[in-house]
Amino acid sequence: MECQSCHSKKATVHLTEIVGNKEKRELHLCEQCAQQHGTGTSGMEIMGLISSAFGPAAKTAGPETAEQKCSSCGLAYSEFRSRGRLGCPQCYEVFRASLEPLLEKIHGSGRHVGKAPGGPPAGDRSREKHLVALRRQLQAAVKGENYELAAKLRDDLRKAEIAAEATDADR
Amino acid sequence: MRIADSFEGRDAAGGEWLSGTGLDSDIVISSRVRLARNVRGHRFLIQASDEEKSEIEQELRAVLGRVEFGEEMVYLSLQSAAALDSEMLVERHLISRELARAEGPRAVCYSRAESTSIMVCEEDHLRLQVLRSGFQLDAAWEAADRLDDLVAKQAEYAFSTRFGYLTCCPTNVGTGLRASVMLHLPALVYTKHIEKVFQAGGKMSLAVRGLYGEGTQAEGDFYQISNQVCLGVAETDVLDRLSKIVPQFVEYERKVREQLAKSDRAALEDKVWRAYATLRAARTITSTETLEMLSAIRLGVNLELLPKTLTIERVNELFVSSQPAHLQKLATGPLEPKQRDIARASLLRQRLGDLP
Repeated sequence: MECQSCHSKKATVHLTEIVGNKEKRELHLCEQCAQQHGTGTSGMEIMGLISSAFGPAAKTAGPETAEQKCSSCGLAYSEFRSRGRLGCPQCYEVFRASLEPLLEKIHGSGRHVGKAPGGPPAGDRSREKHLVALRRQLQAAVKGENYELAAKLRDDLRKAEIAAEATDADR
Repeated sequence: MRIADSFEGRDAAGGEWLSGTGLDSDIVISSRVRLARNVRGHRFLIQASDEEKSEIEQELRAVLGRVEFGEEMVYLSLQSAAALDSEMLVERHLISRELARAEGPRAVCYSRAESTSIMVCEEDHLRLQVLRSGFQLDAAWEAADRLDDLVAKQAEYAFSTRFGYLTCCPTNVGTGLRASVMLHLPALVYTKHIEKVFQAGGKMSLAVRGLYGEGTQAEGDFYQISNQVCLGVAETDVLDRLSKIVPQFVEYERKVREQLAKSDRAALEDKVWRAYATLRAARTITSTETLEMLSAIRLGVNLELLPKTLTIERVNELFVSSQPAHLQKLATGPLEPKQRDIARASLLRQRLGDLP
């Protein structure tokens, strides 16, 4: 069995960790990577996040089965789960349903904010700014326990996001 | 862009980012911005066949050849370069350890000043990196942003409006941005206050790592602080967050240094001068001990405890030139660990010997 971290050496260290709701997580590592694991490399943290995101809750999150493959690069869903790496840009669409909750877990968000190649067209830039401003106001309202305003802002934000996505789909 | 077949460093000393200039350079060694990018129409490298990897590398070499960088760039294939050259590039922070030790077609394109480097065929097709001396995150970002625009004119990036720049690892997707600053925090380590830096970093979703990044130890009291989140946060917000917290760490380290200089001056001077004496007299010295001693004299220079002719730049450069690959390059051949320790001691005596 190959090491789940470096994928080059033989796994000689086998760890079983109990995470959260008695969910078992298995790690198979070579000695070198296991030592690093002891010091908490982010690579291992990613694996941890991936396996916890793919825990019991994830079973209902996506229609992917272990053997589903990306039509573009041939990466099987099970390979993504074990390596934590995607095979090609298309994978993001193919495994989208499972990726969304994972990305939420890693980044606290599932939607890109920021630069686009060549800079966004003027319309996009202002739209993006509007979304960012709404998200900030919402955070401030929640923090200030102004729930009435927060609820309104959440609705506004949802509408704005749906509109933004519709424009994206047209492109 | 010039194609080279071996590493031609500016000199043995290291890149411009070691100059010890820039804001707060007594504590902030360097600021770095890295952007992960992939081009459309190819698999990520982990899933690509050897043939495709080769195609990607050739395509990117042509892409970079068309970019008008505005400064002299050198393109070096790491598949054909000597292993020692690759290790030197790692020690100079121009490439990652993973890229140096990988196999197959891969390359680096770097500026002569060593403040810009582009890794080709690392985990992602391209990793654009800009380094600046001291606390200059904004300047590093501006340069990286510009570099990114220049490359984007010549290549079509894999990008989705929903997920942003698409990367091999889902932790980088979005902006693909990793902004980091390398801090020298000897007083916080010495007084065991460093844990608080970890805790504060954790609360702000920032990662705190050692000298050579992921999974490395904080040797020489160096800590890298970087963002972890790439999706849902605009580049400028990531930089803002770091720009707010880093000065707090800098201030914290400075305060503890002042306190030490007042309350425990004899012990502090003793630590610094013993380190200075060791480095100037040792006949054999390991890299771990060297880092520890250099860290102490770096602190001594900043607190003006040592001769003024010993500059921060000289100390910064010794951190790089005393590393194994640099020593072997200087010796023009491979050295066993024991021989390296002797060569290291000799280099240190030579570089510090002319001082009072």
